[in-house]
Amino acid sequence: MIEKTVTIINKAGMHTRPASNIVKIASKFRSDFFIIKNNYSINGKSIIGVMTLAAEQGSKLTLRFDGEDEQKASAEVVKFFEDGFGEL
Amino acid sequence: MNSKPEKIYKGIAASKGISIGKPFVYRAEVPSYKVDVSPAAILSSDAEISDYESAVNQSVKELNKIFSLAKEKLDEKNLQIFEAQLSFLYDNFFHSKVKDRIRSENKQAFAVFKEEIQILENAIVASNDEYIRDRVNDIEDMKNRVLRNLLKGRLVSKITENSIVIARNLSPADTILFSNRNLLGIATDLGGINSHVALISRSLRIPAVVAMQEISVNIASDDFLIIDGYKGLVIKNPSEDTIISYREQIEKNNELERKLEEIEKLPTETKDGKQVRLSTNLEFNNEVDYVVTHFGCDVGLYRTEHLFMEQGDFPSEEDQYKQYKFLAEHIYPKTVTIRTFDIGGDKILPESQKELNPFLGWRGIRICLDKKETFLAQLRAILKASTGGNLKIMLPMISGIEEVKKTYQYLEEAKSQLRSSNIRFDEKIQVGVMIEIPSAVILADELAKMVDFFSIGTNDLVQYSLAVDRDSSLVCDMYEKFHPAVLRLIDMTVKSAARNNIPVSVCGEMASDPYASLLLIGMGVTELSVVSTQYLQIKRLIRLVNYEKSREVAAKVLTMSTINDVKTYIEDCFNKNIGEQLEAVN
Repeated sequence: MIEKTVTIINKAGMHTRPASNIVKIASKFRSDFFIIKNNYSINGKSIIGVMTLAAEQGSKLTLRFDGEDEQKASAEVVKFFEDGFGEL
Repeated sequence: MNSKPEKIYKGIAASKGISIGKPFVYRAEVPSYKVDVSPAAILSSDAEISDYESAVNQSVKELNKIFSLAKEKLDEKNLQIFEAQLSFLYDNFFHSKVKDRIRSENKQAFAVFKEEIQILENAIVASNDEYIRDRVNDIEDMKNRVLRNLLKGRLVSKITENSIVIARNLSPADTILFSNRNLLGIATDLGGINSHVALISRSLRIPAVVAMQEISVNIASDDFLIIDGYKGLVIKNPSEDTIISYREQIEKNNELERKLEEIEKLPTETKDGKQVRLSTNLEFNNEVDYVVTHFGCDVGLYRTEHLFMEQGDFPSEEDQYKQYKFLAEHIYPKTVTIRTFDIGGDKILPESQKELNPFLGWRGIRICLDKKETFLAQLRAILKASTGGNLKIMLPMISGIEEVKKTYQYLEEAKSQLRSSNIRFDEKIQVGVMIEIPSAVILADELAKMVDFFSIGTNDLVQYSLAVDRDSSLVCDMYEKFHPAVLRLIDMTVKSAARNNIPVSVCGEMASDPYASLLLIGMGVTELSVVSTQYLQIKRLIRLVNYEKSREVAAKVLTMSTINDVKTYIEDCFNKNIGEQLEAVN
């Protein structure tokens, strides 16, 4: 299992478009993927779950990956967060 | 057919035109269904689950259909709303949760689904971020669609025959769906002159009346209607006499339309053969086709503010590039003059920093020059889209030489950034300035030496030269484009442009006013850019006027010293010279 902490850096936050891209990226991998915000954990492969996090700019999130391809999955998802969802 | 009494309802006229026909009463929102939640009302869990699944599948089907229609009609930003809704419907984690609860709690699919969506909406609404809170809207349409399908209270989103759509309000999805059918008109309870329904109706050129308050309650499917998009009326069960008089008016309008269409192919020139450049202002992508096929003219003013308004933020360079490229390609070989962001500080400043006097504050070019990266991004986007050689750049709110100099520095910077990345652009792209602040008129000779063209923004020029805020009900009657001082400022600008051999256009509302447009031509303005709905009207007027005569009229007007003298004289000349011909044509 891998855990990473990320910060939302783009201005608009984790709105519909990035949320749907996160799900798309995570769904490419077999590993389970959870996003945790303030002890609230959601399945990162569910767009509706990701939307309920309502994560705005500056929010800190924990990403948890668990499975055979967790290394690859975490690398790609974390990079998407670090790139500000391509909205910088 | 009219046993029922005639009744007239009034609203705001949002799109002109008249239609007579049957209503299609559309209730998109889920009505307050009485849901029987007693245990007896619950089907077996299996049946509830299979109902839920088919409702979701049906919703996916519907949304996919709308999505494929919308693709051609909407820009990318709006498309994403549909994409998001679709991705919600594909969320199997969510669906399993709903289905699990239906089974374990032995509840109706309707109730569980509604509760789960409510939990989701509550979580989002709790966000501190306004943008994220607004995303609740993305979910609403999806929710209503599934509920509608689930309750089989689904309303036909099919209009079987030409009808006038009556609704409380229409969502973007609804409007797009309707727009592909034979619509006679739209009347809604809600909405304003710039609401989604109004904008779409105008671009589809069908009559629309909005803000009717309770029209959706007052009209039944078996009524018969007239919708009058000029006066903002819906007439329920009109009498024979009313119908006859409206039919006559429609006939007259059609006749006029045909006359107008006849002149589409004719040159834009005065009676005595003087060519006049007539271009159009453009705002929405769905107007582009109409402009190309019916006018085939330049776009004299493309405002970029709405790109900002739609997002509540400056659009990305990539989004802007796509938009400018779209325009450049569709309007080619004609030209598009893109005005850089002309946004008021009131749109971007936090409440606490709002200026007391935004019209004299941080706006237009002032913001662009202060937000260098944003401005560079816009300039690069325009440059990248300019490879066809048919784009021009126009700068708003120029008050002096320094602003133009500084803009050129930025433009050079943008160009050299592109060069170093080997990105092609139009090296000779033209740059012009808006003349809308009196100081720019006074410095017109110097400005003319620096730029490729002038465009007079009459709305602001009137406001700044007369010191009148036309939104103030106390002084708005002093806002007067025929004020002699305003006319002389325009004259100074035109003469200065002529001395320096650059073209000068007028793109404010003044250009679209029949009296004023003729005066402007007589004053030597080389191009008029008018709102698209007035284009053919103005073209027709130009073809009726004698250029030499309009020169004389303009010269005479410029010697006058009161508004009253100017107006009386112009109206008189207009009626004598053109009025009769207009009558004859009508």
